[in-house]
Amino acid sequence: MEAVKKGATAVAVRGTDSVILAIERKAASKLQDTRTVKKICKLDDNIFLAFAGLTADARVLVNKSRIEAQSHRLNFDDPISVDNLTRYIAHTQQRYTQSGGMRPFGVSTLIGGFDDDGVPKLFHTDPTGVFSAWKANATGRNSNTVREYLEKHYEAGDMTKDGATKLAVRALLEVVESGSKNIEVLIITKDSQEFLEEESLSTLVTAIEKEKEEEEAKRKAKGTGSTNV
Amino acid sequence: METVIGIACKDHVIVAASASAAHSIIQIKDTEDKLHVIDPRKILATVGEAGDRVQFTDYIARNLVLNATRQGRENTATSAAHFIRWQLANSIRSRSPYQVNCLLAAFDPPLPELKKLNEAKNESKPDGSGSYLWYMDYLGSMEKVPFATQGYGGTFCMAILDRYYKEDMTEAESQALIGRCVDEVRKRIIINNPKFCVKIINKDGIKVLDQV
Repeated sequence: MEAVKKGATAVAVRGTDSVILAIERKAASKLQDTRTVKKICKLDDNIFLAFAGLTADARVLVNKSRIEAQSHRLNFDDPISVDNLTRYIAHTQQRYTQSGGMRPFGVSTLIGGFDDDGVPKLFHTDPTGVFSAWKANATGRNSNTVREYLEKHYEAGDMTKDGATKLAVRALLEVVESGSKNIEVLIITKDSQEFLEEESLSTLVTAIEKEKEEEEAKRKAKGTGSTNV
Repeated sequence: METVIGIACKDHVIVAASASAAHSIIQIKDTEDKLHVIDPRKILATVGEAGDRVQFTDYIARNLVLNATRQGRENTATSAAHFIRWQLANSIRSRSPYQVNCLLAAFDPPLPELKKLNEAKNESKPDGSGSYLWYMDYLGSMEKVPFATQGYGGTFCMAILDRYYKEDMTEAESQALIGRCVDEVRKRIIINNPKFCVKIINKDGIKVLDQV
């Protein structure tokens, strides 16, 4: 749990027809090749996982779940549902809290994807093995702040792909140093999944920053250190 | 009984398989697809024991997908072929071997990394792209070949392929060649195999052709 609290933030938002996973990319040292550090992992064709916490533990968990996803396809000739895969991951995490000699996985995961029915799904697991479905969630450093932001601004009605992306990035920017280089965003739709490219991301970030500034200016103009926003 | 024919030309690979599924003297189905798509650009054409065939191809397909997910990119044709051969070679000395003979047909997109590696050597496919066809049998043998067959009908087809195969055939020509082979199989094999499934792989992926 402590490891998760120190881990880089991850945010996920479930839109009406998309799931957005956004992670804070920790500033790497100059010699490090940032492309090799993957924090959003593909588990199966339309199921992705973002995590916060110990990277090595996450790697083991991701590997196990990839095998489970293929094993399910082999046995049932059907892709595994997001629900089932989350259950498996949560079950694995729980097992390591109870069996002798093993320490729990220091990872909280956000699992997003689509099932055959075309409905977007988002789940969250934590080191204790608890899991549940969410409309939007965050884990890792300062996740409480981010979650509060999401709670205030999640409008079930207006969650198009772009709206959800903006919300996810905006929420992440609450706690992450501004700059598109520190954020990675994955947009999952029923038929595709794509990482938001550098250019589009920086445009979005700049637009959000501008909005933030405008809101800040408005607030100051009102004269009250108000509690909205 | 069962026949599978594969022809690899410069820019495509074509595979055909008899579409009958039989159980002792009964033909259960004449629309069986033995050209199993294990990857968007690879087909594993199998003949052999009925249950083993499906079990083996499913197992291979799922493991290849797992490998591709782990790597973050598609498997190369060569790595897939070696993996399949390894599984077959392991199985022959196990308690219950897979009784499966297969042909792996694949078409690789160009890989720039390979090109750099192979620049020094005089490789015919410097960037790894192009058509591949491997003959693999249940004992674990593996040969990369321009054309190959499996099954009883294969014996007759090999002679025809020897005579008429050319590396630079167009898709239409290779389809015609398959037609010739299929005709021969229909004529000479004692067990009736009237229908054949045909698939072709080229740089655009896998296309299912009409049943011959």
